[in-house]
Amino acid sequence: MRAPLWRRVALNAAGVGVFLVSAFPVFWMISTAFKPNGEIFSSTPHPLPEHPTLRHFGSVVDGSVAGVSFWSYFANSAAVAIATVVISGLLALLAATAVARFRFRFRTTFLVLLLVVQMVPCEALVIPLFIDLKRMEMLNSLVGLIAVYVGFALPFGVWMLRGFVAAVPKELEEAAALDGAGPLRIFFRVLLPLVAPGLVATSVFSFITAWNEFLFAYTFLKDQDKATLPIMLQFFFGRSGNDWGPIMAASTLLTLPVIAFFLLVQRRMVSGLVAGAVKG
Amino acid sequence: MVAVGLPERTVTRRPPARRGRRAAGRVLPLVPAFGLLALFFVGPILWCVYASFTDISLTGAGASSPHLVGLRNYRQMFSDPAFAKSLWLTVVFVIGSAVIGQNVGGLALALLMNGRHRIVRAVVGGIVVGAWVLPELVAGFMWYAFLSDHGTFNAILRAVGLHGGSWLYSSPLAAVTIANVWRGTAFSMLVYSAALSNVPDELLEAASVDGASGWARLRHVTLPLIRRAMLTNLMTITLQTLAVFTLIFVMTGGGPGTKSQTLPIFMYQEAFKFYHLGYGAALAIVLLAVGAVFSLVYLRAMRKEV
Repeated sequence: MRAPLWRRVALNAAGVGVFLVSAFPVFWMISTAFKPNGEIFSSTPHPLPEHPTLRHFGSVVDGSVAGVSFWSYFANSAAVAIATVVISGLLALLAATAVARFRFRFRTTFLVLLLVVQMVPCEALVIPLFIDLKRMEMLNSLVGLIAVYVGFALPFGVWMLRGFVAAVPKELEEAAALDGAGPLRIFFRVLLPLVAPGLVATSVFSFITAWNEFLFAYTFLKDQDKATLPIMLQFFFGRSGNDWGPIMAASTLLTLPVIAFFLLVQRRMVSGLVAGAVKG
Repeated sequence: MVAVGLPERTVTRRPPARRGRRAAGRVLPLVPAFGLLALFFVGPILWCVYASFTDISLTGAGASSPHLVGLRNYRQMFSDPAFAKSLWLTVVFVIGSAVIGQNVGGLALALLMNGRHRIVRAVVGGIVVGAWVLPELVAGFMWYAFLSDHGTFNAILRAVGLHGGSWLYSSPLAAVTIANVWRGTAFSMLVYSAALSNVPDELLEAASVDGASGWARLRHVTLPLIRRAMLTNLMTITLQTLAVFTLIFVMTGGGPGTKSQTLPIFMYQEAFKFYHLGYGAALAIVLLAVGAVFSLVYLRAMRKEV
């Protein structure tokens, strides 16, 4: 069933068209970040910077636009994202092991709960969580934000890792137990290496979610020295309106880690996410 | 295999006290995850239901000692023209950008990519998914810059001799819908690509031998076979789109006026700009309910097929 040549060319061309439409805004963001102001604000569009400059990146990084150093926001963002990944990964793996390996009374209840909370639009919870954190005096603290992110990352993580744990043959663990390994040793030495691919996929997912998250960080964190990168960006945008050079430079810097992580594990993550979406 | 059977038998012979400890040991790994889920999902939802019946606010008397006010928030809501408009905008946004835009767009892309050149698939797939992992905030800036008065879109229109417009003012809902389709279509495309790869080629070939056109093959062979994936996808993207906040917040802020004020924006402004937490909680409950209604429709449709 080979289609005629013109058809194949036309369909591949349509693919290229989709590529151009998808890539254009990203291309424009990166290209604007390198343009001097004269080219950004000229009435004839310049697709590529004719005199590329690193000035905008400089003004973002040295903090002359935001007032607070870029690295302070960056450190907050990195701390929040990494803590979310590590804690949610560990807790999700523990829960997934329990659900996949043991039978106990509220097992089904827990599984149903997992499915239901995955359907909750998290943004709807911003008001009660705000009050929650206020009561626990964790408003305006990175720990409170991390706790919320971990809570949001768990349902998907447990659900996905459950499949990975179930796929590990039980005989392996039993053999290790016979050889005298304790439960902790079995968990770390036998199970962990075998579910590592699943852990990588869920980790990347929770990293990207935490790194990109704006609404909760914006609502909970009030001090600039506690703020994460997306808040710095919003701050720029709100204050300087149309100063596109620094905005696009900062956007590019915010996006880089996400794209890097994504390229690193693209295939695994994609298949994992789809499996999560088409969950049984 | 004998060795495998051994520990099982010893387990059944354990005295009751140790069995109880073992049962506790089985549930123990679950406790932290369960606790966090209770703390950050179940608790807040229940609290939200409660708060929606109170006059709790962020400042003033309602902050220190909120009172139960019965259905006052809900009565206020249903007599508030801003709410009716917001609900309507939300439904239009969800149907336009998720049910039609992302869903149909994702299916079309998956069909288009199915059988294309390997390199085209890899490159297009990569970039489309790239749009999806991009921070929502950044996507909002990009589209704001693109569609603003002195933005690139107007410059392109001028270059080909057309008149530009103030797109974010004249048609804000359309603007955020397009931006959200651009951002979210990748997910649907991935789901449909996976589903299409499970459609057996023999069926399509048989249909084609019987003289079915391309459209008829899609309508009568492919679509019924991927029905389940389609409903799951619809449910996921509907719930995601229902909750879209940052994109709209950045691009239009819900405005001009209230022309793109969907429920999440409305809820946020009532709660954190006007400090009406109780009213905001009631709006959150409506948001959750709209999500639940959509989910039930999809779940029922899924059940019917069996």
